[in-house]
Amino acid sequence: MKSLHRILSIVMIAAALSLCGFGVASLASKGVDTFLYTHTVLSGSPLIFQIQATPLSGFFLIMLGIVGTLAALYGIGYGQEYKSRHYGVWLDIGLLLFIVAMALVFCADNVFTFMIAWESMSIVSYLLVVYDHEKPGVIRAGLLYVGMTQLGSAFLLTAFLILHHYTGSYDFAVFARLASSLPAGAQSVVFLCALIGFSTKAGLMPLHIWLPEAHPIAPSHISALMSGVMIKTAVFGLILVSIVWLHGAQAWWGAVVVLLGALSAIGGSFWSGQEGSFKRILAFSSIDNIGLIFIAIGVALLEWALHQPLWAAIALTSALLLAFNHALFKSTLFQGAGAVIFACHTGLLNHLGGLMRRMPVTSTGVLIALASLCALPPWGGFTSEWLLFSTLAHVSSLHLHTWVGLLTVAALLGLFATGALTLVSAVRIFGIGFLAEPRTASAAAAREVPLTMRISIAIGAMLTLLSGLMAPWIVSHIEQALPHALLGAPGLTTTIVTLLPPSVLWVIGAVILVGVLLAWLVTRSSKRPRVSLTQTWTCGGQRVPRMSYSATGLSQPVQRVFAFALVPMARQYVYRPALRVVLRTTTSFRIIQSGHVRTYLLYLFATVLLLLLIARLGGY
Amino acid sequence: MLDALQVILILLFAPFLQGFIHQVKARLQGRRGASPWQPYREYRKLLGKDRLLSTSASPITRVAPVFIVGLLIAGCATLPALTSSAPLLAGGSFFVFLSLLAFARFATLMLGLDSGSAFAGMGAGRDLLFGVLTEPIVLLSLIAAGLQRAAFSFPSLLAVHASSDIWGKLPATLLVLIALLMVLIVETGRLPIDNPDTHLELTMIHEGLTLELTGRDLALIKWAAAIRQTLWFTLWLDVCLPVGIATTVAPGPLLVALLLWVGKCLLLGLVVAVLESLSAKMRIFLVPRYLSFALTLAVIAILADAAL
Amino acid sequence: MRTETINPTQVGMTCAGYVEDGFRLQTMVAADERATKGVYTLRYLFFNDDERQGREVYTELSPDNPTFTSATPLVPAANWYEREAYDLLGLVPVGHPDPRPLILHGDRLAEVYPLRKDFPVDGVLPAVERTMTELHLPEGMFEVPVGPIHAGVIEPGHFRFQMRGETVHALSTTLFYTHRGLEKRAENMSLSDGLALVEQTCGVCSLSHALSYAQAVESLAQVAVPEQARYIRVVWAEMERLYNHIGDVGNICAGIGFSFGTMQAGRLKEYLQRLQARLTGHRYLRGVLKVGGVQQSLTADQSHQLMHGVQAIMAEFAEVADAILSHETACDRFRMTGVLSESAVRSWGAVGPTARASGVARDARLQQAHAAYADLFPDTIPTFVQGDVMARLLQRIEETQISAKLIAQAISHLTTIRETSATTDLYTPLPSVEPYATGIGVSESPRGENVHFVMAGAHGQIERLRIRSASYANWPAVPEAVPGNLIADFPLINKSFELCYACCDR
Repeated sequence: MKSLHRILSIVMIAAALSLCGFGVASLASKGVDTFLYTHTVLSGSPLIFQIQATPLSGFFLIMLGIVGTLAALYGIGYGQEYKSRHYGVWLDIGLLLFIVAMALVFCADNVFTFMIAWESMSIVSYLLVVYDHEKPGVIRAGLLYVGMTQLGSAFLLTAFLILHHYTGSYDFAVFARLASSLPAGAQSVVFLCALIGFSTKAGLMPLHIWLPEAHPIAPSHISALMSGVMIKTAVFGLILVSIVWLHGAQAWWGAVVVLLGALSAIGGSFWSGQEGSFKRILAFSSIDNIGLIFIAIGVALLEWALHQPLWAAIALTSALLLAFNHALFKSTLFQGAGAVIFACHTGLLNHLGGLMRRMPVTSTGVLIALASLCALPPWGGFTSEWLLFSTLAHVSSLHLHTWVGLLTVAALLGLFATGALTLVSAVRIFGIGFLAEPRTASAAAAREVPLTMRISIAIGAMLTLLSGLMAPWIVSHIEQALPHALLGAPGLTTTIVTLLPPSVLWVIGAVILVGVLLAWLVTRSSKRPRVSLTQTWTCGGQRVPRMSYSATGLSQPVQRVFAFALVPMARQYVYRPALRVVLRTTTSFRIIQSGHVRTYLLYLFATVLLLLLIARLGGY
Repeated sequence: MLDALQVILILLFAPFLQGFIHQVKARLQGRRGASPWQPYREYRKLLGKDRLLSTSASPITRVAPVFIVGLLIAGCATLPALTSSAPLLAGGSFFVFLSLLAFARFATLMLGLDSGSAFAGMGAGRDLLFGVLTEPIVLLSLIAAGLQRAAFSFPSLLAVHASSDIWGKLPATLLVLIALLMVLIVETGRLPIDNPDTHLELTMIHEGLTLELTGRDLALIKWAAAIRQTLWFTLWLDVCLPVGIATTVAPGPLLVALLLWVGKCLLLGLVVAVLESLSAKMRIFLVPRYLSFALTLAVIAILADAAL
Repeated sequence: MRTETINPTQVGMTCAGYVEDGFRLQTMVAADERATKGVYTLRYLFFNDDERQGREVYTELSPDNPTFTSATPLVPAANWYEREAYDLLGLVPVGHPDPRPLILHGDRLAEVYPLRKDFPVDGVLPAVERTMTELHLPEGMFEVPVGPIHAGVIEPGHFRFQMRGETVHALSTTLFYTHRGLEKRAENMSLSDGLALVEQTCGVCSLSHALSYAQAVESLAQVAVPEQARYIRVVWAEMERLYNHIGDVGNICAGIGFSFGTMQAGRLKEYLQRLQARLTGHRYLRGVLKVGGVQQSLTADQSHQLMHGVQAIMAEFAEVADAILSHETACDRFRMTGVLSESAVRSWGAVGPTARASGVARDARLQQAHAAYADLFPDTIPTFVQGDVMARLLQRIEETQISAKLIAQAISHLTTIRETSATTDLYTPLPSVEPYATGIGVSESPRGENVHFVMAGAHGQIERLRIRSASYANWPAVPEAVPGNLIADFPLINKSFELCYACCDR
């Protein structure tokens, strides 16, 4: 069993690495789409399996490849947490399927292939989410997840069927050619359906409620993939539909996306600062980052509609850079959270503490990734937010006297509020979870995790820093992934170079180091001062674990000030009634739940077939 | 080279400014007070002392103090003090400057929490709250100052000031001036927000975070606080009172700029000291109200930019 | 005073009965009287402010079984007294809800009781090694320990806050770090020498302690104090109140970093203390009183200087107080902070400005008139009902005016006395006292009612001295005022009570 686990892991690493290589190849193809494979399932029907890689999908494949490789590597050691389970191997198989399904989403070239891949991704991830189904609340969260995801799928299918109605084809290539000539009303309906469908997957507020429930309960390397890559499939999809196909036809689309993005960014970062469990903090932080990415996409849509292709291109570039960096640091952080749970058997910050001295490698990795999360220079998270800041600032200056200017200023405000709120989460995670003294016996007994996990976290942490230092280089390649219409925007490369000059991040890093050196030299005393150790000052008393400041206490001031915003409005007024209905319905369908993967796959195919048949008969 | 000169100038001048404010406050309270050179003596004294580290602390405590000063030195390199035409780090971008300060804040919070002292926890919670409120305000104010000419870095903002009459768009400038002054008081830990001279552990904010430090580490952190204060002063002067900043690198204008910069810093220090002497520390949960006033000013400044 | 002698098992019920009848526990004295009576004794002293009369509940405990029924479950104010009796004399209050050591902390576990007569006066208590008990707090809650060593130069007290962020959920205090065994030291000193010792109880209430002690001894020796001395006592008692109240106003300002208030009030307090040093030779008014009267007279010239100084300072203080009360931030911090309810005052038996700021008109100058207060003191005293920091601040500001007025009146009476009276005696010499006579002396110190109990020995020495300062009565009430407040407000709340540690710990 153990060797099977190893073999599967190595297969997965190889697969993910080759995905990565394939992505590089597609991205480097200079805008030429690589036709990959086609297979007709049922002749005369739309059931054609067809995949094709574009530079855009190449970019996402690289992201998937990197995170997937690290997840597989991490899984080798992390599997030990599950070694007592006889079905431990299913976790590996699920992971493999999950990676393949996501790769297919990025490469799908027609509705059938896309929906199959999309649904497989959802179902496999659902099964992975409920992997620990014996823990309380997992089944419930899983149901919420699957319910929301199917809701999203329904909207996506609607969007595709409307496109089919006007273009007469299920081919994405045809959509790309003809979608921009659709009537304005139809375009808007397609856009809105796609927006709802994709933002459900992305966890954009107010369609986010499943995300903080589902992401944290999955095994941690699965969480890493879900937060790092799976929610980016929605980013990919939205770019595909609204920019590649519909050419960002109307300015208000952009405004809607920017507003939802800002809501999500502020809401996500605020809630992430209030949560008590490591992984839930990270999940809310994903909502925040998705919000920032959507702000960038929204600005791209807005600028394209306002005939500023240069700024549309730059905004889209910053969206992709944000997505890339988020994938790196969030997957590393989820792996770090997994390592903490592995070592302490709890992820509640109030029960942790003192891990920096007990798990130095993991802790350092988490600290480095947190620096990227907080957008500290010169990390990756910093470069992407810097680019977003510059974009927003210039766009607001460009449209200063119109509503667009004010909208982007509002988005800027969101960006900074987010930045400061993210600091709250990061300080709580590290300051409470890793520093000072352990708060419980289980945290006190923590030991370093297996080597593969440490290596995976270390590589991920290095990448978060490297992606910052190398940002200008990365950006120059991201430009290749832009849609054809934007790629040719005049002055694109030169403008980006002024916004993010090459080697600037190395200089920032070097200046910081020089400063550190200077400070060290200035304060170095000629006679070496003695260093003595003593208990932390407790005003002359004895120190006991209950005197450690808690994560709850740390965020209480922020919580108290923003108490008015703390009512979970979406949950209270929209979802609770809806959820009740969903749960009731799902319960009544319990009879068809067998618990076998193949049964679910059968249902999945049946659903897609049925929908396509309805579409056919309905004359679309 | 010139940039390095500016950095060294701020590094050396910062403790004097701290001592000067202290001296003015003492005078206002009817005491004679220590000489403005006292901070330098204090650093020397602390550098000669042994270091006492907490048994709870991780290696972070050992490296954080130098790291914080290093970050602030990088911050100094981003901000023009004397001339707008010297090359600056990252072109003097607002975003990079504030990110460096945010980094220093993050490092300070880590340093504080590392020892597991409850007073540091209290300080951290309060500092986080203030950070959440001040960071958007500062950026919004800076953007409001440069929005019309797309000036999002300090040199370009100074260029705008040089080319046009700063008081020509009086309303926005005035609003930004007040908003930034209000934030400056918070960020430099002065009354009525934080009491830098308190001995009451339970009320501490910035002091609480560094309560565990001794010897060299304490000297570094005190120096860092002084540098941070001078940086905020310089930022405020760059945005709101750029009179006398040299536009060339000729020695003559540079000398004038140097004298004027020192003079303006001391003048602002005087204002801060007077404000401090007149204030009592406000309830922590009134600070958001105070800052929301600053935020409103910044927003109105943006609207004024858009309207004019 | 009527004494009711009861059985040790009846203590709880009897005390509860008195409290129901409107009495409050004024002090409790436990004594080792094995040498004379063969028993330990407990005296619960009650006082009724409305009817202005006291009661004593007396019980004897056999040395074989030194236990008694605790009154604390029914009379919360008895809490500390009974724990103290346990710590110092080994008298066990059965049924006490919180029998933790009070004064000796963990060292009580050694079961050596220092106030027993067989413990030598220069004896050393064995130290007991101890660990903190495990305590499970609710999720996210933690403890913040503050003290006994503080960053500022203040007296030692250990406070432990249970909190979950900025709001305090519960506070527990540990005091008595400065317990010096003063009462043990006093035993076998002569009654007149005791005064010098008692003056050392604390700095800021030196005169009040001397006054209470002198009155206790005068009461047990049945000595009448000359009229002139009674008025001089009023003058100095009010001066002590004046400089304390002005200083406390400054200290309250220090709690919010309001340097103007701190520095100005500190300056005025310093002027008053220098004036006192010039007129009496001591900044803290030590050596002014004498058992049976006063040590120093107050000449016409001195009276003039005093009046002049007080008037000048009161004028300045009025301006300072005005400036403080018109400072918006300061007033915002004072209002609604640290509210002590009237019921808490009543159940804990709090005294002084603390009680009066919570709406309880309790003042020893009025209800237990001593010195010359019966002639001078007005029939009503100002009180505030809010019980917050602001109320305690305003209470002090109001009381400074009364003090200034009382000083002026006392001085004018002194002038009349000097002109009319033939005798210029400053004190009545102490006669030989009846063995084992007891006396109680009560004075109103700046912090409130200060009660001394003195029992004479066989040869005119002190057999038992029990000092119950105002701080001792008020400290247990402080934790009542804190929960629900912000932790950063605690220093302010604490300063608004401005209780003394030394005269609580003794």
